[in-house]
Amino acid sequence: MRNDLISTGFIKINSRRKWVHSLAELSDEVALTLAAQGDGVAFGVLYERYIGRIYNYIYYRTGNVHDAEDLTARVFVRAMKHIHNYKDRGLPFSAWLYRIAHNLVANWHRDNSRRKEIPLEDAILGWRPHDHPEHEIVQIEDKERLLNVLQTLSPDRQQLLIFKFVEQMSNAEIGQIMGKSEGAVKSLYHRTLLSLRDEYEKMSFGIIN
Amino acid sequence: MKKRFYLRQKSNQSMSEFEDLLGMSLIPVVPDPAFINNLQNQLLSQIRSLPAKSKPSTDQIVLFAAAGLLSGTMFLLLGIRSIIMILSALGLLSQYKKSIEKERIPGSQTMV
Repeated sequence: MRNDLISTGFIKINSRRKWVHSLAELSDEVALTLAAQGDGVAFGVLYERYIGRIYNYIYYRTGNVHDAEDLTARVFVRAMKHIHNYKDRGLPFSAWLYRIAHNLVANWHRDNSRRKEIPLEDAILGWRPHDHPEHEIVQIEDKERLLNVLQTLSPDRQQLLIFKFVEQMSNAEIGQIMGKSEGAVKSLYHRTLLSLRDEYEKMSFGIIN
Repeated sequence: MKKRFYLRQKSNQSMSEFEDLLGMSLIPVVPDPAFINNLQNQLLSQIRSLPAKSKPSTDQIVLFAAAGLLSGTMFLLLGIRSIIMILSALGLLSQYKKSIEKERIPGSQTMV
């Protein structure tokens, strides 16, 4: 097993020699091939590339930092154990990781079977300061309410919104990961927005009354 | 007509505002760097303890194939040999029966 850092030089992939300048330029495909051969450094490259995305996905699905960290760790441990069995089906590597994350989050929801809430202090993070503190508090409350409504959506719809807004993915990329056509993603997105807005308005109306 | 257009425009506007709200709410969060480093170290130590699984080389494949072929042939020969042995045993048995019957026939003639 090779754990030394790859610097400039040749690497052997599928009996072909390829010149690399640095680890950063390794494509997912190459890093995957090396990682499947037991290369810890190549797996490290993939880890660094996807840790943030997987963490974000799990964070918005679970609603708290502690579970997000725990499940993210499990995703990568599972990926590492099964990377030898990874089969390239023309989908991006991230699709495989998201699939693992999706399954683990589903198990987590089944085990917990309780509604999670985004902690207020987390909701405040990243919120742009406003001139009027009252207005700012209202905005924070709106955001918290919205995230709570988001958690009531089906896993597919939550996934779609996270990909769309957090990951800033295009419909084509989302379709690749979710195994849907671009048109189906567009349609699902529209329906999701409508139902989310309705639920959000119902909740807001309930609070006002 | 005007009312429908107005309602659609209003709906589009509110949808756009709602998308803005979603965009402001669903922002990327940065995981704790300590968590990232700890997990990376944990994974690295686990990778080191995992047994290396490499694809078999051509020599290994040829060796395995030859060994498989040889053992297959051996099993086939053993099978054929055991069938021959069974058949010969059956032949011997039938010969033995015939010889006994032959011995009995002259005896029975003398009795008559």
